[in-house]
Amino acid sequence: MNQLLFLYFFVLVSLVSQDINAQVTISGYITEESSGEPLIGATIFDENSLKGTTSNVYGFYSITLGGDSATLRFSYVGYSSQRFAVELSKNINLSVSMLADNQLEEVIITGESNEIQETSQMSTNDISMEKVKSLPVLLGEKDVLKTIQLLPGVQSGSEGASGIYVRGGGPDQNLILLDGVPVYNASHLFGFFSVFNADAINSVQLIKGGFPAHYGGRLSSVIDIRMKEGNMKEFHGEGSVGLISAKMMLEGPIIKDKTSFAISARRTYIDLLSRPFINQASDNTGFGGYYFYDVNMKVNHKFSDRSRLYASAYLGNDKFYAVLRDKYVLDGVTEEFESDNSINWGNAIAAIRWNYLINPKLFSNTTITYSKYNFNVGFSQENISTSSSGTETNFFSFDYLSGIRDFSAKIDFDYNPHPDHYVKFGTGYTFHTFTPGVNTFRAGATGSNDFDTTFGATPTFANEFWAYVEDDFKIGTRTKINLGMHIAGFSVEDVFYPSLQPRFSGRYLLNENSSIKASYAHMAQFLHLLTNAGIGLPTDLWVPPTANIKPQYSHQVAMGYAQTIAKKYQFSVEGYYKTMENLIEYKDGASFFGNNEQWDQKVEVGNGLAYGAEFLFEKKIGKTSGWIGYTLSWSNRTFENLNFGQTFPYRYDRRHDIGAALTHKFNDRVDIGIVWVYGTGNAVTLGTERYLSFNGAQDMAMYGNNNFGYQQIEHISSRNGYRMPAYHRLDIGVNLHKQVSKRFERTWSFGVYNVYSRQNPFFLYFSRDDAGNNRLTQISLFPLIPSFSYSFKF
Amino acid sequence: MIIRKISTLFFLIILGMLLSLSSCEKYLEFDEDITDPKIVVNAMIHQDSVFKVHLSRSLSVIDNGELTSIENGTVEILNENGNLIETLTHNQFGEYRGILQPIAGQKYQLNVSANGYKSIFAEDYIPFLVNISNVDTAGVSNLDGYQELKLEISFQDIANTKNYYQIEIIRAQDFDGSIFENPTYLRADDLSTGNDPEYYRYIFFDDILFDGNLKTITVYTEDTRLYDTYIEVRLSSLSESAYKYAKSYQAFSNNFGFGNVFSQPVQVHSNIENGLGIFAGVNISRKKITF
Repeated sequence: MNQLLFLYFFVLVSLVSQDINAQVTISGYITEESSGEPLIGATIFDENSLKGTTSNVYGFYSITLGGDSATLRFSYVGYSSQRFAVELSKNINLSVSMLADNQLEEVIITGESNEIQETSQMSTNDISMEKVKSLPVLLGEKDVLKTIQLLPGVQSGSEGASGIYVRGGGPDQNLILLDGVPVYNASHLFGFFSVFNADAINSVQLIKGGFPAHYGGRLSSVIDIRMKEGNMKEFHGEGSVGLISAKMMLEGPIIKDKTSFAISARRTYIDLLSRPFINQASDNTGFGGYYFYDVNMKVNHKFSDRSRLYASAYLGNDKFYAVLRDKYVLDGVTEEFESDNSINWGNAIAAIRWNYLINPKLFSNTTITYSKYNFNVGFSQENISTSSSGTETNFFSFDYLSGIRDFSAKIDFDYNPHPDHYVKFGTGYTFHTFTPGVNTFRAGATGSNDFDTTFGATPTFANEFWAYVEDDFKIGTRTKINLGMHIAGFSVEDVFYPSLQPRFSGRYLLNENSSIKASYAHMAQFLHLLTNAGIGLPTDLWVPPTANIKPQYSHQVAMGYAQTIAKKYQFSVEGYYKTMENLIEYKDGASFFGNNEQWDQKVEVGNGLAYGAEFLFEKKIGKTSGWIGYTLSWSNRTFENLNFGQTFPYRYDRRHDIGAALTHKFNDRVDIGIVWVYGTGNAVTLGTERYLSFNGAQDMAMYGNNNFGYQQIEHISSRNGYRMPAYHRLDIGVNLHKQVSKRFERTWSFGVYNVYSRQNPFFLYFSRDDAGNNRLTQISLFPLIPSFSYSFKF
Repeated sequence: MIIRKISTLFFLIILGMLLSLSSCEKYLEFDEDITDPKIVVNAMIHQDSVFKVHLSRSLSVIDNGELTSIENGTVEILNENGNLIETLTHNQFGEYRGILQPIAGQKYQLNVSANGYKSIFAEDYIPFLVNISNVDTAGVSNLDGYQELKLEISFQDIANTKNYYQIEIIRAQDFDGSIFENPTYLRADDLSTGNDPEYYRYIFFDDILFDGNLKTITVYTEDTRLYDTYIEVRLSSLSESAYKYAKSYQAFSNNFGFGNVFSQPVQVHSNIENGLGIFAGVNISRKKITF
């Protein structure tokens, strides 16, 4: 490896130095014409030299060329290409606004493009927000994570949930980034909905393997979500009213072409609708309910072509609440009673980013972020007694709080010294505060001293740092390699865990339409999630490694083949093999809740192995577009103290998984979306036999047979040894658009979830039927569920 | 405790919501239905008693039948070389007894055959006795103001062997001259032993961190000195199989009730080849503390 790195740096230095003379750098931003939103991953290609590059997540590009002139073609799927002829006499600032091609007809892309076979990156999917919005989904809540679940290599966990299980990894192993800030709990309401409001999102990318070195901190995937920057040109808005929630997004310039904002909010309203009925039923003595909301805000300001500032924030919360009130008069004393009870959880995220173009080849981004996830239980009660002799008050309150809080700072550089090299490097630091469970108890009464105490786990502080360098470079005309190194370290209490993570991915072009690819990534994760493996509950708790429980590590190798067929279709097949170390699982019998102070006493540590093959056939452009993906996979776990030391399947080990998503646009007014999924049943643990325990046997030896009350043991021959029936489902949706006026467009969306009302397994248990026989019983959650929503844009 | 109540309430809300969403229940064929019962052995052998082995039959989890005793079996105890030591005779209700007592430090094998069942085999050893050298007691009150009795239990671990321990506490009350003994719950205050600070019937730990040393383990139990005549501390030295069985069985027992839904299922250890149950050695040291 060292020799390879040496060779690489030698080649890089010689290339850069040889090209340093007579080179001109063309750089700028690529944005969408009507809104000024950055276009991420747009292709810039010089038809003269046949060199090219792509725009980064801020829409910035830089390309350094030799010769007298260049003919630059800018292209992006769904947008009309643009061509510029430029003289290469001095550095050029060329920012380009691209116009959407509303016909969505085939866009002609010539020469080097961002097509699947061209990039050195593999195991990556870009998720189109158009697709997210046109595909049908449960209760009509458009959801990015549920669209991601339809891709090969991604499994969905439980029925209806937005949990993501990538290539045999756990739900904690996904680095979900919102504008570069990690989101710790990405779900509302037990995971049925993700926290991301589709209206506020500009782009989404999923990476399952061959991770570039600038990513780190999780084992299995990166989901990089970029929020809309806000329209720089004019004021716009969109919103919708659905079965369970209403949402609204507004964006526009504060100073045209200089400063813009985007703000979006969503709230469910079942609780508001039901409150009058609850009030009536409870005689106005109490009410309660559940809701969630989320708010995204973003402001960005362009100081100059070289300097730009972004401030963004996300706030989301789920809340169960119950309020009880009572008031009565007894023997001349007025008694008032109020009890407030709530359980709420949510994320708060804030980021300030500053883009600065140091020179046309060197782009920098400095970020300061804050991320918090809290789970809080609060009970309070107050009694007020008013009589002729005065007023007496008694109160007590109890709060339980657990969560994680991060402060982070990082600086990242994009360096384009030569068209054949795209170098990224950077460093960062995070200060974590883990709060595994703090209780606060307060009580007081008129005439007595108040009681106020805090007990339970004390916060744990940890420091995490990282640095990386990577280069995406070409060797000859057929080979492109992304080579990088990610260095990370984590210190908590008295232990320090360093980690050196080499990364490699590369492609070799077989011809202009197809390539073979390979990658290797070593990842480290300095976080564990205490989770109950079933439904996604807010009590899931993030905890740091300790002296006993080491960080998680993985090694993943992948190989694949990618091809573009007739410029319209993409086909890829990939095989992967991933090992994972230091995974945690609850000990047999451990309860998911209770005191988490000594959480490391409740878990076992073991290893995981996942391997499989993924097939994806996709059509990205045209009136009919979509994909079908198939995954053949295995995911196993081996823990010394679980399953008697024998290897067992992971709960979401899924031998076959099919996801198909299709949209068809009949005309500007009508489009439909169809989703079909199939997955091998989840692996669950069920007893197979029952027999007397030692105590039961002692009792039998004393009292004889004919007693059903003796203590028994249910024998489980293997953990996760039983397969639920297969899961499959068809969803269909139709969107009816109408341009009501020049500035106002509305859409009615109608959808049916689980069209053929398949009774999919959610939970299995043993129960007795009417004849008294013990039967294996399946609970299903969602039968055919229709939905509709009304949305508008102006 | 209050957290558990809150959590319970919370999960009941969730369960209610999920069940209200649930469209239906249906019965499935159980693919793992095991129709052939197996021999179930239950024997914890120790040097203070003759060999005693209980035999019964297992059933499929969906079989409503009765777990009856097996009374026509042939139960043989062999030494570690496989030579027959004695054949046990049926006493009553599936219990077989011998006339010899196991010896500490010895390995024993068990062969059982019975008509209609596959023969089973098991092997284990009797651990050496580890005496309780001292127990210090003191009344303390914990954070909640709850009165606890603190017990510091000391013993000398045996060097160069892996030892497994179980601690239990028995309360004894005098009612009109009759002594009634009842087990009580305790918690450990020594996280290095791998115990969480909840109350349990037994505390389990091994000697990985104190091999060959004098060990003092601190446990807490309810302070009942005002009502009890005495308490008895029992320190059992367990074979590895006995330890795994007892520990997993305690986790299994605690898992019943509400926790069953929201806890991990428990696999109870068994060391019976072709059958189920346990054949394992223990050695118990006792110390009474009279009030």
